[in-house]
Amino acid sequence: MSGPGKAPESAQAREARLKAGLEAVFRAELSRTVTVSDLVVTSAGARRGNVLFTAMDSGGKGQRYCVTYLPTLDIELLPIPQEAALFRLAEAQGVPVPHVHFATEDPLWVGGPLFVSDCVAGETVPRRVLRKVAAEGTGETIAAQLGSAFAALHSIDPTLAPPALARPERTPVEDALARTDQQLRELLQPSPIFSYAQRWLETHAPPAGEGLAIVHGDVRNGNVIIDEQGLAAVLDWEVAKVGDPLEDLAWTCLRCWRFGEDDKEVGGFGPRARFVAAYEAGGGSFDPERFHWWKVLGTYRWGLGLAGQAAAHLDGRFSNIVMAMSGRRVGELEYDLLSLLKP
Amino acid sequence: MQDRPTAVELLDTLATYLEEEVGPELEGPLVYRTRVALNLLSVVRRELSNEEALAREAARLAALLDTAVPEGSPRLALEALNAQLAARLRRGGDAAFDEAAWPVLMTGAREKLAVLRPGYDGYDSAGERPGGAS
Repeated sequence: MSGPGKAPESAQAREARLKAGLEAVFRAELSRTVTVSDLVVTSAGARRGNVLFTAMDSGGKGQRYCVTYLPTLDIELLPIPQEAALFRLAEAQGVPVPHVHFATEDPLWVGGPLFVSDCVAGETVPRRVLRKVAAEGTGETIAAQLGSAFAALHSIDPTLAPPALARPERTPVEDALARTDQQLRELLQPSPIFSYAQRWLETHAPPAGEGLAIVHGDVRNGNVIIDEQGLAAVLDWEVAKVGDPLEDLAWTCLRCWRFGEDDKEVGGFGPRARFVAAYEAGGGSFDPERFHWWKVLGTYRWGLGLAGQAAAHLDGRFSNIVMAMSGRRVGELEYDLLSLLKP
Repeated sequence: MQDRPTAVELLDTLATYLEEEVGPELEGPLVYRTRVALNLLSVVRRELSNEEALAREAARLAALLDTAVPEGSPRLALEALNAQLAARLRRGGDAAFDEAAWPVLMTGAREKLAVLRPGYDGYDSAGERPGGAS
């Protein structure tokens, strides 16, 4: 069931090219002769493609897979084979991720690097996820499952991280402050609230952490697959890095990822207590002050990010109505920042 | 003086057109983008109906900074005051000033939200800080 699309010709041509590329890469990587069908484009992401498909052996046995690919090589954040290696590392430690079958950087198949993983059933669109969770009563369970998943991820020895994963230049805290300070200087118009936040973050910077971990960097509703049992998989590992584990926990708990379920601090799913209890039960170590600092930093960083999107819209680097609206969402983050920083 | 429809009335007309005539014809990503467009129209509409907020905000910032409101349009005055306040807060080192600034910043933030997203300030994250309640 491919989407009809507004430009049927190019969509059809792309689908045919993908199908042929996938059949060829199954032969090359797995020595399997398959027929590929039922392609469904799932990601709204502008850069990466995520396509679900069925691969059918000559015996007539079909299985659903997911291919994640880049149309060209030059827009890669984290090299795809290393992202695949990270999936395997996380899976071995018990983090719910789709099982990866193979990865290749050869542009011969679909124009850029790709990896093929299992297709995990469930919902990923944020508002539909929250409706499903409300109907099935899985919110608190998911908060706990996220805590357990983080504990498993953060228990991995960070020296095992794929080599291309970013490492801190100084400490994660100092690196984050240097970067936000740079973004603060680049704002199109000064923001007294962001200036206040930058200063607060500097004067309240936590002491150097007890240890580094592999952090996912963007675990939130929209980057997870939710099924009847709750958390089925954590997706989108392309901003993973070596960092402060509490940065990961805090990002998941920002108000901007709750989609209106404001009193459920953990991603709009459930309360912090369940999340932290599961994290600690899995061997993680929680510090409320440090967590708070990273929440302020994350709220501020996302506010700067939205302002940056508006700047990209205005100077023509990436112009569209959604990016324009981002500029007028900065005020939400400013309000949240001030609330978190109430004297 | 322009004839009617006024600017606000034109925006309302545009919103109705998008919602009732264009919307039902759309599918796929255009549905989402048109919802964003409608949202954007309502932001502009509220902003146009709320122009005196600029002068009020300029007066508050000038009082905090203990300075006069600069000459010129409210917008230009506010830009100058904002830059001055941002620089002072970035420099820091004056705890009493920071404390006095917070409620002024909060009033400004709430006024912005009244245009951007009414009701967003119905939730207060202060309760999430270490030590809890606001």
